[in-house]
Amino acid sequence: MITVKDKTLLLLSSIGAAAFVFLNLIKHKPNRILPGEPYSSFDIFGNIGITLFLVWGVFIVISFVELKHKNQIIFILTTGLLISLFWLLLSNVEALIDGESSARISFSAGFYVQIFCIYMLYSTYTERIKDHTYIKWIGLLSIVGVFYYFTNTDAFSHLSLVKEYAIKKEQFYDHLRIHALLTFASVITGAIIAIPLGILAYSRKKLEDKIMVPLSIIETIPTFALFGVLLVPLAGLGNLPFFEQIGVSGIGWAPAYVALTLYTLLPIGRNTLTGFHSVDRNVIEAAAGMGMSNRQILQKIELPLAFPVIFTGIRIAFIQTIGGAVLAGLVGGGGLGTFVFLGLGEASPDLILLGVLPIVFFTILLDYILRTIEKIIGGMIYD
Amino acid sequence: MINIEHVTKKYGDFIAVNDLSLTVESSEFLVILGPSGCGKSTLLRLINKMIERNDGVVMINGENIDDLKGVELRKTIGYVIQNIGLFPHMNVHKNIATVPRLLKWKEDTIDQRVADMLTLVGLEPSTYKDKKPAQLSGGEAQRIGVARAMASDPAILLMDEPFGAVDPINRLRLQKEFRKIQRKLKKTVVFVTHDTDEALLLADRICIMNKGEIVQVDSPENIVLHPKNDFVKDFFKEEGILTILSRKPAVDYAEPIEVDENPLHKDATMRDVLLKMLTTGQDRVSLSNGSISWDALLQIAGSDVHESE
Repeated sequence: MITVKDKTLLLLSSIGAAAFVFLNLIKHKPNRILPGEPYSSFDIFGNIGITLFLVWGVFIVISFVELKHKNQIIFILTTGLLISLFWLLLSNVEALIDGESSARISFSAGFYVQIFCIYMLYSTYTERIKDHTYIKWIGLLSIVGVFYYFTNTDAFSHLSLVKEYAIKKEQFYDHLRIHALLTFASVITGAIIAIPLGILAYSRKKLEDKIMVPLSIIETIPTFALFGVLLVPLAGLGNLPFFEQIGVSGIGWAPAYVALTLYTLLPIGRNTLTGFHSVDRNVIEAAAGMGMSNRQILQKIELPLAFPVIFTGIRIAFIQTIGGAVLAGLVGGGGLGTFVFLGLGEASPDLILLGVLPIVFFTILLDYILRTIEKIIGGMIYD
Repeated sequence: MINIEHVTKKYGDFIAVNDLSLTVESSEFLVILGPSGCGKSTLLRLINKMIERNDGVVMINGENIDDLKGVELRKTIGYVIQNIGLFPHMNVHKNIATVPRLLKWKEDTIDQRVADMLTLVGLEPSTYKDKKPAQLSGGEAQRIGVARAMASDPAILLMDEPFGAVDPINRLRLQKEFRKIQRKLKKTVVFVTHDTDEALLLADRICIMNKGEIVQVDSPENIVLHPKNDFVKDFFKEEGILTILSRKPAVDYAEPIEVDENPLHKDATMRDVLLKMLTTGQDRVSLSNGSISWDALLQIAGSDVHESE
């Protein structure tokens, strides 16, 4: 009887293999406007490419058997697969372009699906590696190293995404900075407002619904509608001298900042409330029984014990806001959303990706960093 | 000394404590015993103003507790609850130092006091002071709870089923050790429980409560041998006599009749004597300073009844 030993691996490798076979890997476009000519993985990789397909096949086989050091083996194969995928792709790009300066290579679904599967495998199996952890670092460094090498090759500059980046380079960093600024400013403002609101909802039982229900309602207002609602009051506020000076108006960064801040209130406020409710009643009773005042109980007992949960709320708000800040591009607020909406207007998928890919990258990175901090805080409080 | 005079506590229409009066002597170990919902925990919390009463007066050493703010009052009274409530984010040292810190003691005085308290409850200070509550066993955590309650050397300790969550073997050990500590330091203890064995083992006096009122306050012997009514009688289910025997050292009752047999150990109680008779079938048990016969045992139990009348 054949039984599946690793469902995650089977699912991801099946999708990866299917993407290899059935979906187009890239498009070759003669210039920015014309639709390109699609190429499948077999077209591009040729005979050597079969080995890549075999790696996906090996993953499928491994998912049916028990293996010693399975996590390490999958990790090494995944790293190899990622590097060779790029290597083979880029080494064939030069031939396709054939010296045409306006021609470019654009990635298609087959490429993105495989990369997604590789990413999922990567994140799943790095976490499972418990011994020989140095393998993780070798793998990570080799990927970074190889990518650094690629970015300096001619072939790399033929990629459509890179071409878009080269044109918009200065704007890109400006918008990246604005995006980061909007995200951090909104979440920090949100935390400053929502944590006291959560504490108030906790300490005054009567106020709980009066505070939490409006926060939930705000969350359900579509962003467009919220921008519309904010337009008039912010335009009015912009007429006042101080606010005019800092650039508040019905469009621009102000409505984006206000809207994003409003959306962070629910995750942070609700987690604050949950965090305080999760503090053991016996601990509070003991603290009160020893003569701590309500204020001392809040500062020394409840807040530290609720903090890990509150911090989770802040992390959720961050992840939500990085993505949500795309909409700032709509109201002239800047940020990476600018490229997304510009790309939509010009029907240029690569320009859209120029906005989306950094968002995906920073979302993953920030989530990882904040989760790590979360674990450290949790450890400091409970160990 | 704690004087509780005509104290009443109502929750809406429900009367938790009804016009209750009780005096706890200094250095006395008073156990409040009763079924769930009898108002025993409420009564305990009225003493340190964790709950405000509706009527009556509570005096501690002649001072009305209403002359002090609740927060100030509670710093002067030790308090231990069933689930201990150790602060999970603080190590043992900080937990024990809670009240001394609130009272703004000097740091080095606090360090010394924490070490003394740990030693008192039988834990090695250097091993335990840096541990977090999650690293402690149930018994250890309860010892820390007791140490924390006594850290500022309060004259009075209020305890609400403090050993209820500990396994039976550790519970018995904790009970005996705590009894010894209380005797040594002459603390006034008000101890709430629903465990009759615990009450009989620890108490100088037992106060039996039901429906917010006192049914009987008396020594353990009198409560068991002369229950005031069927409620008290049913509460002990006639087994209390065994616990009473276990409080009596056998050597105090030995007759100078030598028996050629290995004597019972010198800490043996009357209960051990009875157990030996029942398990071996012999009617005379040897002790280090004589022996006790079955008839004598019965007489001792009977005379004890007689004495207390």
